[in-house]
Amino acid sequence: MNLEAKLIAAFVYAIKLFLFVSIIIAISLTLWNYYYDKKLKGRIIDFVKKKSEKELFLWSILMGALSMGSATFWYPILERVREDAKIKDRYIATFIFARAIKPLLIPLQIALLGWKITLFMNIYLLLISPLAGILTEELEKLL
Amino acid sequence: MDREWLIAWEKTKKKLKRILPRVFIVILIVSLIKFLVPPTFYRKLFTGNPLLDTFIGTVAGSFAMGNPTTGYIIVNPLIGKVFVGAIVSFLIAWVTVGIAQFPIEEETLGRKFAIARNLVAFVLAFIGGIIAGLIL
Repeated sequence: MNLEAKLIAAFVYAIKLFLFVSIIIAISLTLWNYYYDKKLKGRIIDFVKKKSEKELFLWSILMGALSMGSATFWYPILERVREDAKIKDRYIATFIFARAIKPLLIPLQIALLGWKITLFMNIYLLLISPLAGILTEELEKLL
Repeated sequence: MDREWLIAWEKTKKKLKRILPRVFIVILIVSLIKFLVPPTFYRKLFTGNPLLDTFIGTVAGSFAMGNPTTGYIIVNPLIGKVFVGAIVSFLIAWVTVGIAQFPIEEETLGRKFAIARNLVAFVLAFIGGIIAGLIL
């Protein structure tokens, strides 16, 4: 395939993907906005108020590791939760970092990367997530 | 239709107006990389110098984007041939640093947050590669 054909193929692919992603984001964000305002908002605010710093880190890691789907979908959700529940950026950054832990993909990781890299990577990501959150917040203050 | 659904849709519309142009830019970049950069390209990046390769792995992983599974498939033929730290830093940067997604992160969570988070993720991916190289 020559360069021109590759560029055209890339553009067509981008348009199709954009339409698909836009529809998915529109539907999922509307569902989220509806249930968030109706049921979740109050619960999340109460939950965050009651939890200690350690617990919030643990929940951020757990929710990040269990979260699925594209980051494109998660950023607007995190934006709303951060505003309403006044969640510190350290927990938002921890959540985003912990999204790199993929429990469901561990068997595939072992098959393709070997158990040593899989074990190291997952333990490192798990331990480093709260540090990434704290460092992000500190660096943000300096910028 | 339930009024609450309309309110939810209005909120979605406002957000879509802000983020969709950036989503399109991200998707276009990803598509260009997918069609113009062959998977074999990554093999040619590494030099044999462990420290330099770990840095190259971090940079390449930061710019790469897509399903993490694709990252595992790309590095699979490199295992045993390239410094393990470079492979680990590539994989960690792939899933934690988001250069391509930066415009969306910046629009929703703020410029300072997006810069700080990506810088921290970059450094931690590099350090992760170094540690992996030392102990694996």
